[in-house]
Amino acid sequence: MIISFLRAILLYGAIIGAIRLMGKRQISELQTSELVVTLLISDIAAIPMQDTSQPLVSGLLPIAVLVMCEIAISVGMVKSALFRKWICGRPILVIRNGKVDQKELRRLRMTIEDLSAQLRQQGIAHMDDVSYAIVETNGSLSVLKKPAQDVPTAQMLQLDPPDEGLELVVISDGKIFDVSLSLCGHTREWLDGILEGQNLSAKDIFIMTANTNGGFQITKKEEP
Amino acid sequence: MRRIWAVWILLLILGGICTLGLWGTFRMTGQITASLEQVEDSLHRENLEEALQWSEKAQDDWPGSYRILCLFLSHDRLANIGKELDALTVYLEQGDAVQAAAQCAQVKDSLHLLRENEVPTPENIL
Repeated sequence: MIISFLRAILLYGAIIGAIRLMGKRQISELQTSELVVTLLISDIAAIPMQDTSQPLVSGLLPIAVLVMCEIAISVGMVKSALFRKWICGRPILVIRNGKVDQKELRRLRMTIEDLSAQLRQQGIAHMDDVSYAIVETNGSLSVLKKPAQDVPTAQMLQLDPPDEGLELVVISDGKIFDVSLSLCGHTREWLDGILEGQNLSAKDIFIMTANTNGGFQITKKEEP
Repeated sequence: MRRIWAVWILLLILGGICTLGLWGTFRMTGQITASLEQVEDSLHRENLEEALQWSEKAQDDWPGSYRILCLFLSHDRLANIGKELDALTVYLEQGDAVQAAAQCAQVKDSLHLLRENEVPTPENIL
């Protein structure tokens, strides 16, 4: 039992390390090869976790090989457009100016019902409202509406809304994040000045956000 | 691009582990097999006492080999080899030369299979 417990912890650490090593692409939307690797890693890790007669290396070694291959492929995709096309395919235009491209839809083995469902999920009830719809290499559907159906921007309405800049969490549960502070263009001295003005210390704060324009929001910790 | 270095480092580490595993398997099984060959040779010369000594040597060497081999190979298969070695010693202690010879051949075969299954031949890969 203890062996299963310890193996589970070790393999969990190995999987977290593998996901981190493969990069943020794994955490966001997955390409085909990334999906395959993610599924394989989880299946492989389960084997030595459940079967203690298998050596731990029989799980760790294939995981490491998959990570190595995934990184090599992702580097290859960055270096070569042709390689990327082989691995991921290319984005496919399925709607152009409100008209469905039936040939591309058949090539994708996608039904019109699937397409309509994905459009509805993006708040589009009529295909006529769509200027372009593209099926991306990770299978998601990107939609560009016709200008007349799209949400107007501030520029179109000739408005000039204030630029709030980048807002980040600079204090969370009493802990100060210097990286976030510097990203907002502020220093510790600025923060100390704000806290002094509010008659607070960092440990009294649940969350504090700050933006590049000098604005900030403070939420104090509640009494237990 | 630093991740490409991670690929090379991983490749080196994995290559090292695989080579170490293969070398360890061959070395450990080779040692035990050499003792078993001495057992066979002694049985051939009808010297049961000498055969028993070699069998006990193999039995004493096995735990050390097991500790290393279990890092790379299935524990069940290794446990079976341990049991077979124990049975060989028992047969020799009882003076049963025929059974001992058969058991010795069985253990040798098991060790041979253990070795052969680790070699990256097309049959093993597929």
